[in-house]
Formats: sequence, structure tokens, C-alpha cells
Amino acid sequence: MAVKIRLRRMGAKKAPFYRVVVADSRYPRDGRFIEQVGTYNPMTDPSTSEFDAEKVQKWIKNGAQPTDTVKRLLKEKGII
Amino acid sequence: MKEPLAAEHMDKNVEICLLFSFYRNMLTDRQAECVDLYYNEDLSLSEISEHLGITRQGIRDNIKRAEHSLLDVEGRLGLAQRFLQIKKKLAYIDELIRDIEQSPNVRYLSDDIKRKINEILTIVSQINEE
Repeated sequence: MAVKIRLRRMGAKKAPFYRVVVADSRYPRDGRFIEQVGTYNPMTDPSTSEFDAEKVQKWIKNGAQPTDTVKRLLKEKGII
Repeated sequence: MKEPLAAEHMDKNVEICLLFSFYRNMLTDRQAECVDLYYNEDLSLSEISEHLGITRQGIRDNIKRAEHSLLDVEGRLGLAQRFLQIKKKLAYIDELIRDIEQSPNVRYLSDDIKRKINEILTIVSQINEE
């Protein structure tokens, strides 16, 4: 199973806001995800993100792949 | 073409994402689907390719063409840019009203004025949610 840590767009129509979720990449858009591990708001200046570092590290250790965008955010926060 | 959208902190992904919510209908269904999966669901090109059953290169072309269209339409219409400017001003109105509400002089205001202040706040938040 391809478990990934990726962004999922939420929020109002013209105000992008993302949840960072652990999800199976084979089922996009069905709303299912295994666990939420953070949020990312690109509309603030500077953009803000929050993570549950413990959960993130646990998932990565178990083989979940963060997407490039998520990887960048995690690096900014010093979590990976 | 016009200056880049909004504040410079906004990276390209967010810009495309925002333009997509304005101009989605300017794209073909296939393009819109690719952009949605790529930017809103954060899937990789190969994942989208698997999902839609077209080649990775095909996905890439679709997304590139879509980005180009979105930027082009924004260059002509500038709706997203205008929306962001209005939003900034709304935030300022909101701030001013909250200043008034917190000022000690607020007790001298009549109930009617207080009611109107509340109404303004409601309208501002309604516009923000649109």
C-alpha cells in the first residue's frame, strides 16, 4: 500500500488551506485519510504550518512517504 | 503580463491553486482534473498518471497547458488580484471596527450605533467566506 504524507486542500473556495494527512495515494478526493498530522496555511504572511512531530516521525519510520511539498515544510520546521 | 499575484511570499503553487479556484471553468475537464489532483490533492505526476490511465508526460503537458491558461486569463481579467486587494481592505475594516469595540468610549455609543457596528462585522465576515 502506498501510504503517503500529503497535503489535502480544505478551506473556503478562494482561501487555500491544507490539512497534512497520512493517506493512501490510490484514493484521492474520497475524503478518507488515516490520520491528520498537521496543517498548512499558505495565505498568511509568512505562511504557517503546524505539525504533530511525534506522529510524523512515527509514520515516516513506518515507511510513509512525504510528498515534496510536505518534505519542504517538515524541513523548515526541523522535523526531518 | 502583469506583476506577480499578491504578496511575494506566495509561492507558485499557491498562486496556481488560487487562480484555479477562480478560473477552473476556463480549462478542459481533463486539465481541471489534473490540476486538481496535482495542486489540491498533492499527488505526484506518476500517481495521477496511474489514477487517470494516461502517460506521465501527458499529465505534465495537461498541467503545463492549464497553468499557462490560468495565468493568461488572470493577466487579462485580474480577478484574483482584485479579490486579494479587497480582502486586504476588508481585514483593515475589521480591525478598525474591533478597535472601536474595544475602546473605553464605546459606552457612549447608542444602541443603534452598536447594532450597526455588529452588522458591519457580520457583512465583512460574510464577504470573507464567499
